[in-house]
Amino acid sequence: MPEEGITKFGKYAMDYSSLVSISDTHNWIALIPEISLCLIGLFLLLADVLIPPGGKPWLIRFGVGLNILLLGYLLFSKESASAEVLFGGMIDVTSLSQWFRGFFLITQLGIFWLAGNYFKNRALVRTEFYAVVNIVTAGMMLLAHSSSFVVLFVALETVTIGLYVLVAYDRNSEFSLESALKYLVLGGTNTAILLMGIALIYGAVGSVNDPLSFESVRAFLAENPDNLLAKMGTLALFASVAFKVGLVPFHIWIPDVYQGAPTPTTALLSIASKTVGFVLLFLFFGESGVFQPLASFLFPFVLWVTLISLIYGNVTALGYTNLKRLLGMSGVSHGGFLMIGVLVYMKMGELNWISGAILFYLMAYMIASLVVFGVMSILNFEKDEDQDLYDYNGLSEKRPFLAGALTIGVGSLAGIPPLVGFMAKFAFLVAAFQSKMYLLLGVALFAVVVSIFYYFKWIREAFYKDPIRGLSLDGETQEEPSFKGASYSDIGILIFLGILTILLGVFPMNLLSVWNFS
Amino acid sequence: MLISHFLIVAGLLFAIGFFGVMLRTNALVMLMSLELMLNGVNLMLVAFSRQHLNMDGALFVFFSITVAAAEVAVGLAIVVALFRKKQTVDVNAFKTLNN
Repeated sequence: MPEEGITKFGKYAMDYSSLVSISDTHNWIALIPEISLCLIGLFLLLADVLIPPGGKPWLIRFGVGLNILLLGYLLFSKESASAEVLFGGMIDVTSLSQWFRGFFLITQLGIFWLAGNYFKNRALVRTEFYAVVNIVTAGMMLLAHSSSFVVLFVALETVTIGLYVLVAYDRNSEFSLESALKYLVLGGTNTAILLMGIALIYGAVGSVNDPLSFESVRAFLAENPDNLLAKMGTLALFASVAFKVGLVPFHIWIPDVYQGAPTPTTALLSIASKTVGFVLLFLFFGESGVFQPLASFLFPFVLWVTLISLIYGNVTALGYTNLKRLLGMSGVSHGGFLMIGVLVYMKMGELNWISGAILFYLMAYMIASLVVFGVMSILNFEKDEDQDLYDYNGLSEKRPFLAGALTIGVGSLAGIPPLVGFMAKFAFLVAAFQSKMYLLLGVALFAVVVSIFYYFKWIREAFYKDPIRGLSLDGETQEEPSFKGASYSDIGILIFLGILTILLGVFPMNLLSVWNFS
Repeated sequence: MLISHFLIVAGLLFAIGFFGVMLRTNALVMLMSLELMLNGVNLMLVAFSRQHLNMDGALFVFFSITVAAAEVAVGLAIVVALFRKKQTVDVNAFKTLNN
């Protein structure tokens, strides 16, 4: 019922001066990386139509060069977190969001490297891939800066719809299309659930000024932690985050979509989609996060999802021989591992280094994934959806360098001591121990042990040659498998990533404390 | 009219859409069901907006409609490409991905 003396919406009708004061906060300089990424993407799309086919490889190189320039700008610009109110409080630049900017840009360059290898010997349109990845990256960066549910929703959907396009990228392959349809239907349902969560929270918070901003929602929840609508909305939002990270039981899309998608897209899904989930978790459960007042209500849900993901992801991966499915399910268990950090974070104990540990793990996962997917994309098997463990049989004999790189990448994913993946996992184990979550610690240790089994099956295939495999039934030798070799630039990148994996594994503590943004 | 009437209709739309996605096997009907879910939420946002007497929810609906349109454009493109491959839009025919 409208209160007396108030016309329809009249109470919040804006006068001219308040509009001016909001538009004064539009500081476009703060969004230069996102804007430039969108412009690069649109430029690539436009120039692709205009220039002759012979110039297209140069167009792509030019675009990637612009991305590298942007990375340089990010690294050397002294811009840091500003306390300034931006865009009427919709954008919030913090040192954490700056970190994610750099992370997403580096991931993007890694994906471009994979894409360059993937597109060799394939009759596909190339430039569009780079354009869409640019726009998806801009969406992810914007998400990290969002400070209102409106920006969060729009940025998240920019990412998701871009990913649908990238999964369906190989239009001639029924596998790519099928996985895209599966991703679209499940992702669309997830979008609806996310929107439902936002609507419920809006219904609960409602009548305050700017009810969709994180600040007012947090203030409301701190005052009324028992509001039913808000609790339901929070659960819906957590479900949609769990879908992005790929936590059980919201992981059903993972194996099929990972398998059918083109290899660079699979890498983007496994690195970026997971990180997007953790960006959201930082926004929701961080120290000044929206749902921090409800942390004790959500804790049991998050705990059980984490435990089940750790167990289910690893046990299911044991049965897979298709590498992309295997990496997908191992990604589920990595997501579970990262959730240990979030659980500790939610408890808000003495462990103030835990946010740094989460970022460290994300970085370790990115480097190791880039190495592994890099080797997969260099070998570039003709059937992209059907890359099997046993296809790698005898790799070390033909391509010892690639087999060595694969060992470093897979070893880092499994968490073998001198490599960076070990330090990342170890930090979480220490955190779980110190915050007295012993059940979680036990399950995490179990997960590590099981994961070593299936990861090393892959390394074993690469290093041992099965004497029976080469023979057909009547004893004649079949054709030897041939492996494509790495170019000099591939070798350079792999060596760089490998050295990084080892160095960061030996000297990690600096980063753990430097990246403590909370 | 009470706000709860709108919320019940919105919840019903959402539920019909959800079960449509889960139970139907025609890819086009699944896309329609996705839209139905989003429309249920849109109705809910507008109803809350009217209840709270502010425009935030009603404005949010514009973003949601835009996203739904983009999503369905990509979705239809994928379904058309799949139809060219398989001559059907029944999802039971799309079972090629396995270990």
